[in-house]
Formats: sequence, structure tokens, C-alpha cells
Amino acid sequence: AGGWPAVCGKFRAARTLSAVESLKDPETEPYRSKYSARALLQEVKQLLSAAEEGGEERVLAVRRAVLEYELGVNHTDTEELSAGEEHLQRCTQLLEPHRLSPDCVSLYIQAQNNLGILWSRRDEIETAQTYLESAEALYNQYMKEDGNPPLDPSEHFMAEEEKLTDQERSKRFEKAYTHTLYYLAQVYQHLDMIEKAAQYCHTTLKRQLEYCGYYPVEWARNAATLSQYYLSKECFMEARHCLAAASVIFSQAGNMPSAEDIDETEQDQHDLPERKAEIARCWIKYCLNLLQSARKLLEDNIGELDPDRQLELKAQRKKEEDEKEKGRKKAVLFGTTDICDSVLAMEEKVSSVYPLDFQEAREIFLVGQNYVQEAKEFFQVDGYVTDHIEIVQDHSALFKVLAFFEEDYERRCKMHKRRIDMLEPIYADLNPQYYLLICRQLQCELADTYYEMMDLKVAIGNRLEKLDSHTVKKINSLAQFAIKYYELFLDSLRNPDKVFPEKLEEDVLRPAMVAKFHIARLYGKLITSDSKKQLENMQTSLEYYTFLVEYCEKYPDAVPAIETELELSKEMVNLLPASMERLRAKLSPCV
Amino acid sequence: MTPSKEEDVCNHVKVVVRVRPETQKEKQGTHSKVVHVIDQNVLVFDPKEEEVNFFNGKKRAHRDINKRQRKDLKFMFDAIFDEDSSQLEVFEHTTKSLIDGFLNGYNCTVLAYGATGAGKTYTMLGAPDDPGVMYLTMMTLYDRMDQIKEDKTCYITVSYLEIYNEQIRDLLVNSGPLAVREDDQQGVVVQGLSLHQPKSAEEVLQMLDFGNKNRTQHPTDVNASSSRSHAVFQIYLRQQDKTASINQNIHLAKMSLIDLAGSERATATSAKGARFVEGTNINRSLLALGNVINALADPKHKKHVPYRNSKLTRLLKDSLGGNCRTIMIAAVSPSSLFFDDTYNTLKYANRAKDIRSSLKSNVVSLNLHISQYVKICNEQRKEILMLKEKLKEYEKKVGILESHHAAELSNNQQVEIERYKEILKNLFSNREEIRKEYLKAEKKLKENTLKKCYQNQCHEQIQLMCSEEKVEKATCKRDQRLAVLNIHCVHMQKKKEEELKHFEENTKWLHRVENEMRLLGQDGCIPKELHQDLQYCHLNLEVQDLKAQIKHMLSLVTLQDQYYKQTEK
Repeated sequence: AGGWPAVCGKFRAARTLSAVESLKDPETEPYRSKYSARALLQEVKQLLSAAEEGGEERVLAVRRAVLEYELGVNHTDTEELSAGEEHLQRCTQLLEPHRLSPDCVSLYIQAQNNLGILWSRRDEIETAQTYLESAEALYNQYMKEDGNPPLDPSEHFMAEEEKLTDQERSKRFEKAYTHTLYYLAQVYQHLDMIEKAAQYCHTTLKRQLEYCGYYPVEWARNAATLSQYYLSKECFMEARHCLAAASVIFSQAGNMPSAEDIDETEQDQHDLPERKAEIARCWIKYCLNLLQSARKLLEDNIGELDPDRQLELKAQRKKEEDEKEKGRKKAVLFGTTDICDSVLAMEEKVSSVYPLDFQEAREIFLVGQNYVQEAKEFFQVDGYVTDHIEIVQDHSALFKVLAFFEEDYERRCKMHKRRIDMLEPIYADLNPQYYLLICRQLQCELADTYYEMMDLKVAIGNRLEKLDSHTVKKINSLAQFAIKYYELFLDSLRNPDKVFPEKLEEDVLRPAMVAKFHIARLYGKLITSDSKKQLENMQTSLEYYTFLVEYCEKYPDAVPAIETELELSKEMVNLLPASMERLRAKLSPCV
Repeated sequence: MTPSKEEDVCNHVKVVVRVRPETQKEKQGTHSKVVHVIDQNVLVFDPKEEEVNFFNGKKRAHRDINKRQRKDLKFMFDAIFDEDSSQLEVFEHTTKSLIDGFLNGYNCTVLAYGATGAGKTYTMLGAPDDPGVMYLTMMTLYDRMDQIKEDKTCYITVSYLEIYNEQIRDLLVNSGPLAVREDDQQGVVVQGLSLHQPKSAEEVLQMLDFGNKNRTQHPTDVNASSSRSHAVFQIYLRQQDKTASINQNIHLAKMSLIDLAGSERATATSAKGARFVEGTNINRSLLALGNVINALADPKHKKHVPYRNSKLTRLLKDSLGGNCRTIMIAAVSPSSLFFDDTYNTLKYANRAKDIRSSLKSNVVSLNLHISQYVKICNEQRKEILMLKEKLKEYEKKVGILESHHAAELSNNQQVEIERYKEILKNLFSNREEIRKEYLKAEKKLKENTLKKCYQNQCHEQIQLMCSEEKVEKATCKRDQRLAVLNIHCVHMQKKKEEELKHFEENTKWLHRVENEMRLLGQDGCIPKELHQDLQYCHLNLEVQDLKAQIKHMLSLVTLQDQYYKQTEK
């Protein structure tokens, strides 16, 4: 085995070529270094078979397997999938009998990882899945039966004195397994097994943290994004954990050199304020979704807080005492103890259970509002119009859902006023030519808010003995504002020649119809002592109801989108004329 | 014209595919055709053998080495142009329809996509003797402006920029990297970008030509390296009515013609624009974990997904959606030489069709207000009821009874529901009573049997152990006891049967009530509320039953225990 050091040298050179040099290959010859590496590997293979008689059979078989593996990866990298598959298969065949021994297990898992990748490139994702799942199973079996840090494949071509430490071995082995999990996450995602995919993403993040294989900013962003997935599943405990971890890890950024090989660091440092604001936005969504989900649980069929439900849920919560949560928590917990402690401290700041009364809701609201301020610091109108407005819309939504928990109508009204105050100036400054979509959203939201305020004022008024002129004035002016914004929205649908479209586009059909319907109702609500004026308002109201009915007669396919409104409108169209007739008769009794 | 115009408004993103003719090299080489255009809307990629065999029979052997199954995929697009289509045809069916909208003040976007060498540049720019879509667009635009110059003053300004490595560069003047920002008045703005005012279509073309020479990689180089540079050519049109009036009508519109980076290396070079392209391929770098997670967190509904916007996406923020009209032209080569590129391009184009739906979904979502909505509807209903009542009154009491019926239908139903709830309650309390008695009877019977059994056992023991005299005495006593027990048993049996009858009666009653409830609800179903109530009652009964049974069992068990203890003595 005199040539052994030379063999090892060649092997090492091949690996450097394909890992380091190939990155510098010109685009015209993207695989130049890979091809050179392949040639070297072939040489090593030949030398090895020449020395066949020498060594022990087992050792030789493993070395051959390492070479087959390297060749397999090389061929896959250079888009020669069939050849790559052959090599990798040969590698696994050679290792099959020893796959659970410390000198083979890592290589075997990596070979299966690569077979998984290879099959995914052939669009046969199920085949990829079987390879990767078997790699996962092998890891688990090995850790259960042996558990000692296994040899890294490259060690088979190293002199004794160069061999890796146990620590390094373990690190590499775990990294290979992390990759298995990460590939599985992708496989599941492609197979639309979203929950599984999320679970594997979570585990990947967790392992990155455990083995320090992460870059803080990147990791934080991923954890924050994953929280948004949990929000869609209403798993608030998991979402909060991800967000808290994201915030904690993010605060490390800049203090800690990256462990992974990344050259984007500088760019990311530059982006730090933006990333921070992004995480803040994820927190906003967390608070908002938590409040909104709680609202959904608590509201009765007309959207008011149902006290019976409230009591029931409170009793239930006492009983459960988060027994269940603890079990779930264990499964998702991130990080080593010191990180974990900071994460838990971070979590303390906001609840992850549904708020059931105003006090609890308010606490979550305040946290959300703080994050709104933080996010707005970076996403200013000047330069980030759409982002800024999205944040303001969230802020408004926070107020809206908080108002649900408020029992006092006056105070509730004030909350809606806050919404108006933040939305109106933004809307006024926006150029609809470029931000049509946002303008429409704002118009509708403003109109709805005014509408809600009017409703509240009416409710307050109804409690009084008699409506005083001040309240009447207030109600009328709020109704007028609501009408104004609905009309603005409808105007935005007009074509450049200011003509309202004959047929509405599918995406604005419902909003437009609802706007018409609301305006009709608002005209019906306006309070006036002047009968003539009242008649006029009724006439206008009738016109809007008629529009709805006639439109649906003309385009029956619009009916499913606005069934309830249509039904009500039809009745109004039948009833209003008679009422108006009566009023008219009252006005001129002599004629 | 008009009907198609209507439809155009609805279709925000139109995707067309152009297949270029085979080159000399491809015809000569051992390559086959992998794209087969069926008609204007359908093409087959990698069709089954026989179809291709027909053209290119002898070369089959080469492809068979791959042993790969033919994909035989059908793709549908808004329009497909085959090898023989002319530039004019492509123009007529794509950007021409945009020009009307553009002159009406809509923003328009044309995206060209495809691998280098697939005919993208040819389609967009064309050759000197066969000008492409951009040129034809500009020609038509200037023509149309000429037509309306009597009524309107038009200003055209253009800019040309490139995005390379996520950096924006002006192609018409020398500049450093430029920054994108959003302005609430002017939309998306590239700071420091030079604007030019060409007088004619020719001048525009010269600018394009000049700009192309400035591109980081010249797009006509064959060396596949333009793949990472997007070129964005934007035309701003400002129209003003000439008729002097106070409120002057000004139309502003922006047309963006975009030469997207080639698709060929998108996976190999982790290109930033690869977000769209991602196929089923597994991404190997853990750094791309974000892509997977992004895909999980769907931003459509109330979520925030903080992915890093590419410069191109930011640039087009105001040009996709809203009143904007978008056309995507995907260029492909028919040859097997570009098998993967073509496949990727088609997949990408196919996915681009979905942009339409994702754009639509985020307009104004009213679903958030649903709960509030119920309130409104309820109120409205009340108002209607009130109006109806008034109307009836006004109509001088005609058919007051019916009106009441009609007006209070829903109210009535509520009352009915309450009534039935009451009935159900009674019915079930009755039922519960019966069951209780029945079970009691059953228990007594069991007890009875047990006692009989015990008597017999006891008697046997006595027979075994005691003198005849005693036995006789015991027999007598036993017979007496058994007789009592038997009478009891018959009695219980009767009671049990009685209860059973009661129960049957009750069940019949229940059925009747159920049928009546069905009539109450629409389409022959029991109203949901009542249905739940009914279910609740059933379950409750079951629970009561089980509880009673448990109690009875326990008493039987204690009884047995007692006997055993006695026996042991």
C-alpha cells in the first residue's frame, strides 16, 4: 500500500475541485471542475482495484462504496442522472450488509439522500420519498442501537493521524441527517402534505439551532414565516413560540459570526432594520389573528359578544389548565437551555390563549400596537407605500376587533374613530392611478367604519328618551360619510370615460353590489323631519335596490354571490313604492 | 371588437406561447421535435412516439437510450403560435389589444420569457427586415396618437433599465446602481432613472438598440449568459384633452415591456428570480429552507410572509393587478436539443396563468365583515317586516290573517321550534321514566332468578349434609319460598311487558313528532336546532340508561356477595 498517501491525495483533490473550485467555473463551462474531479475519482478507482489483493475485503468494499458515492453525486451534479443513479445504487449495494455499522451508516444515509434528490429531479417525487424516509429510519435505528458518532465518509481516504474527532464526526453525521429532514420537508410540500412539511421544517429549524448550523437573520426570518403557517392552523402556542424564538435569535444577529458558509452576510447586515420590521409584522399578524379567532368563538349570530359563550369558555379554560398544551409544547421547543430561557421569557410578554374579555383582549392589542409602531419605523409611507398601508390596515383591524370586546358603546365608537383617523389621511394622499387596489380597499373599509359608527350612534340614541338634534345630526353626517366612500368605491369601477360598466368583473362584483345595497340602506336611515326630503331619500334608496334586482335579472350568474342581499332588495323594491305612495298621499291630501 | 374588449378587462394575465422554427443545426443533427402544436390553444410537449416518428423516423434509436418515458403533456394557453406564424400575427394577437387600454389610461405589461436562443429577442425586437413586437407596438402607438392629435396632446417618455444581480442600472445613460422606492403619488419610482422623449417609433428603436449594447451581457450573444439579466423598457404616456375646459382630463399610463432573464440556468445558479420557477426539484441548500416555509405560509389570507422581494417584483408592484393588463409571451424551441429548457419554460408559463387568480383574490375582501353582515340583514328583515305590516294596514285590513302568516313566517318558525322543543322535552322525560321502570323490572327479574338459584343451591347443600327430616322441612320451606318468588317473577314479567308497550307507544309518538318537525324545516329535514336538541335528548337518555344499569349491576353484585359470604359460613 505504498501508493496509499497518493490515493488519498487524489481523492482529496477531487473533493476540493467539486466543492470549491467548481464555484468559480465560468458560465460557459459550468461543469469544468466537476469533470476534472470525475477524472480524478476514476483514477482513484483504478488504483484501488489494482491494490485489490492487499487489504481486507470489508475495508475495500467500503472504500469502493465511497468512490461510487462520489461518482454518483458528481454525475447527478452534471445532469447525467442515469449514470449517477447507477453509481449510487452500487454504493448502497456495497454497503447494504454493513449499513448499521459506524463506518458505513453516514455514507449510506448520504447516498440515500442523493438518490432522493435524483428521483425528485425526474419528477418522481414518491420514489424520492421512499429513499429519504428510509434514510430517516436508518438514522433512528442507528441512534437507538449504537449512537456513537460514526465515521465521516471522507475518513476512509485519510491517514490514521488525520482522522476526525468524535465531536466533528457527530457534527457531520447530524448535518447529513438534518439534510435528510430538510429534503423530506420539501418532498412533503411537493406532495401537498402540508402539515408534515411544516413539521419537518420545524424540526430542521430546531436542529439548525442545536448544531449551530444557522445564520441568525435567516433563521429568524424562517421561524417568523413558519409562525404564519401556524396561524393559518390556529395553533397559537406554536406560532408564538416560533415568533419568540425568531425575536431572540434575531437579537443575536451581528453579535455572532455565522457558522454556515455564507457570503451574503454584508447584504444582510445592511437589511437588519428591514428584517426586524418584518418580524414585527409577523407579530402584528399573530396578535390580530389571535384576537380575531377569539372573536369568532365569542360572537353570537349578529356579531356581538355572547355572554353565555364567554362564561362557558372561561369555565372550560379553567378546567383544561393547559394540560394539553404542555405536551404539545415539548414537541416544538426550540434550542438549547440558554436560548430556550430567553425564548420563554419572550413568550411571557403575550398570551397564546384566546382572550375572553376586554382586559385580556386589550393586553394582546397593546402588544400588537407596539409592533405596529416598530414596523412603521422602517416601512414609512415615503418609499414603502404598499407595506406601510398594509401595516396601517392591520392597526385598524386591531382596533376593530378590540371594539368587539368593549361593552361601552361610546368608547367603542371612539375606537372606530381612531380607525377613521388613521385611514383617511393615507387615503387622501394616495394616487389611485398606481394604487387602485389599495384605494378600493381603503374606500370600502372607511365606508364600513362610518357605517358601524352610525349604527352605534343609533343604538346609543335608541336608549335615550328622545333623539336630540345633536345625535340626529351626528347620525346623518356619519351616514353621509359612509355613502360618500361607498360612492367613491363605485366610481373607481368606472372606465376612463366615467361610464359605469355594464357587466362587473368577477372580482369586484360582490363588493360593488354590497356597496350599492349599503347605500340603499343608508338612504333609508337618514333622519329628516322634512317629508319631501324623506320622499327623495326613499326614491334614491329605491333606485339602488332596483339596480341590484335588475342587474341580477340581466346577469343571473351574479345571483349566487349576493343571494341574501338580492332577496332583501327584491322585497324592498316591492314595498318601498307603496310606502312612498302613502307618504305622498299624506303630503297632499287634497289632490 | 367590443365583446372581446369586455373580456380583456376580465383577463388580467394572458399567456401566449411562441414556438420558433428549427434551426439548420437542429434539422441536421440527431434531434427530434418535442413540441407539437395542435391548435391555437393547445400544444403537446414530448408527444408519444408515433406522432413524431412520422416526421423523423430513423432517429428514434438515439432518444431511446434515455429509456425515459415520454411525458406527452398537454398545455393550454390563451394563444399558441407555431413555427410558421409571422411577427405581425403575434403582434395582432398580443400587444395590439393592449394599446387601446393603454390609450385609455390603463397600465400594461408585456413579459417575454424563455431560454436564450428560444426566439425571445426575435419576438420582442425582431430583425431589421422583420421587426418584432416592440417595434410594431411603437409604430401602432404613434399612428394612433397621430389620429387623435386633433383632440388630445400626447407626451411620450421612455426609460430603459436592466436588473442584473439584483441591481438596477440605467441602460440609456451611464449610471451606478439605482434604488426603487414607492411614492404615494407617483407609484413605483426608480430614483435617478433617465427619461427620454422620442419623437418617432424609429427613435425608440434606436434607443432600444443603444440600450441593448449597454446590457451587462449582450442578449444576442450565444453564450447563454444573458440569463440573469432582466431588461425593462417602460413607456409613459400622458394625454391631455385639447378642448379648453376647467377640469382637464389627463390620462396617465405606463407600459412595461420586459425581457425576462432566461430560464435555462435558473435552477443551477440559484437565481433570485427563481421563485416562480421552482419545480418539484429538491433544493439542496439549507439556505433555501425559506422557500419551503414560504410555500407553506399562504400570504393570501391575513398572513404576512416576509420573503425578500426581488427587485423585479418591486418594480412591477404597480403594474400587476388593479386596472393593469398583462401579457406574457413564452418563447420555446421545438427541438429536443432544448428539451429541459422548453419543459421549464412551458411549466413556468403554465404557472403564470395562476397569477390571474391570485391577483383577483386580493381585491376587496368583504368576508371579514360577515358577522356584521348578519346583523344588517336581520335589521333589514325587521324593517321589511315593519314595512310589510304597515303596508297591510294601509291596504285596509284585507286578509289580515294571511299577512300575519306571511310576515311572521320566520317568527312563527321560531315559535314552532320552541314549541317542539317543549314537546321533545316532555316526550323524553316520559321516555326516561318508562326506561327507568323497565330497567327496574329487569333488575328485579334478575334478582329473582338469582334468589331462586340460591335457594336451589342451598337446598342441595342441605340434602347432602343433613338428616332426612331436616331435608323435608327445608324442602317445604324452599318450595314455599320458590312459590313466592315465582309469583313475584310473573308479576315483574307483566310489568316489564307493560313498560315495553309504553315504550313502544312513546317511540311511535316520537316518530310522529319527528315527522312533524321535518315538515317544519325546508326540504324535508328537521331544522338544525331541533335536530341537535333531538340528538341531545337521545344521548341523555342513553346516559341515564347506562347509569341505571350500572347501579343495578352493583346491587346485584352486592346481593351475590352476600350469598357467597353466607355460603362460606
